[in-house]
Amino acid sequence: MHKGFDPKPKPKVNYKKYFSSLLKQSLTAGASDLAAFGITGQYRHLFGPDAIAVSGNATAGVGGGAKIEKGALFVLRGYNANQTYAYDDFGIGVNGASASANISATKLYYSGSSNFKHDVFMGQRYEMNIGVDVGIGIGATGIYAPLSDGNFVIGFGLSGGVGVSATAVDFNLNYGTTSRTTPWRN
Amino acid sequence: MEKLISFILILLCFESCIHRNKLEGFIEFKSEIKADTIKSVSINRGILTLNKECYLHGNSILIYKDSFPKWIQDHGKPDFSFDKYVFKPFITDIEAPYVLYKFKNEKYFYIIKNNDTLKFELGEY
Repeated sequence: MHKGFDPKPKPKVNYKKYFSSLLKQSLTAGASDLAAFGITGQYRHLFGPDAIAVSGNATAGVGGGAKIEKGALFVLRGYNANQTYAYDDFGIGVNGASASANISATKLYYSGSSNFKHDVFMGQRYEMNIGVDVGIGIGATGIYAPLSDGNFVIGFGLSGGVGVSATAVDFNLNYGTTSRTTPWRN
Repeated sequence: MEKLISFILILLCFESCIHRNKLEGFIEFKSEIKADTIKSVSINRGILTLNKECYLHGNSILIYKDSFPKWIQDHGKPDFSFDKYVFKPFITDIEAPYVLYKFKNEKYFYIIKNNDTLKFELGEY
């Protein structure tokens, strides 16, 4: 036996697979930013969202359904950058035969100028959720909120939690309102 | 799944782009308002609806030198701030009723309330 010979062959590292996976991961991380840029045309969205909403929510329904949500809005740009607002959200709409409780994180993008206030993220909105509920639930969320000045807010989110669904694949489309938990404090 | 959501949102926003016309009645640079009494204000997505007939961007900021009237309440105070929070009054911090006027081709408008005349700069959108 030669000196330094290792009887156990080292596993070959598949660099191609490794870098492909890394590239895929980085692209996925920025996919929503790229999609948002494509939709809003605002270059700042290539560098990330205008705000992030982290929430706990519950959805239930058979045909028709309702969603309630409580969360925190982290504003990243605009006049209220680095500030956090507690919010409540309620929506009603169409739903698969399901019930779920999730924790979700949603990236929010405003199509107007960067001189916005936190309240562009408060108000009426459409929301869509698609997921798989088999005891444990995972899903994706899309938000669209048109403004009367022609601008809009869009959101992309991911959620995870517990849930049951008659069809395993769960779907929910609802219209509702996001409002501050504490409208104002003196 | 994220791609599917993106696709549907693109469709929705495409529809929005087609109808991307601002509603009529927005107070803007060219507008002229002669002492209109604002009795009711509602806010949706940062846009104020005044007297259910005209619209104003909520990011219209108060222009002042050293101080502003103490009766202005902070309606936008955050629940938590990562920075030191400083109150900057916006039009959303002024409660109705008040009198609003604006000269033509000026980026400012004026509010009269509690015997104070406040100057606001029209917000960008």
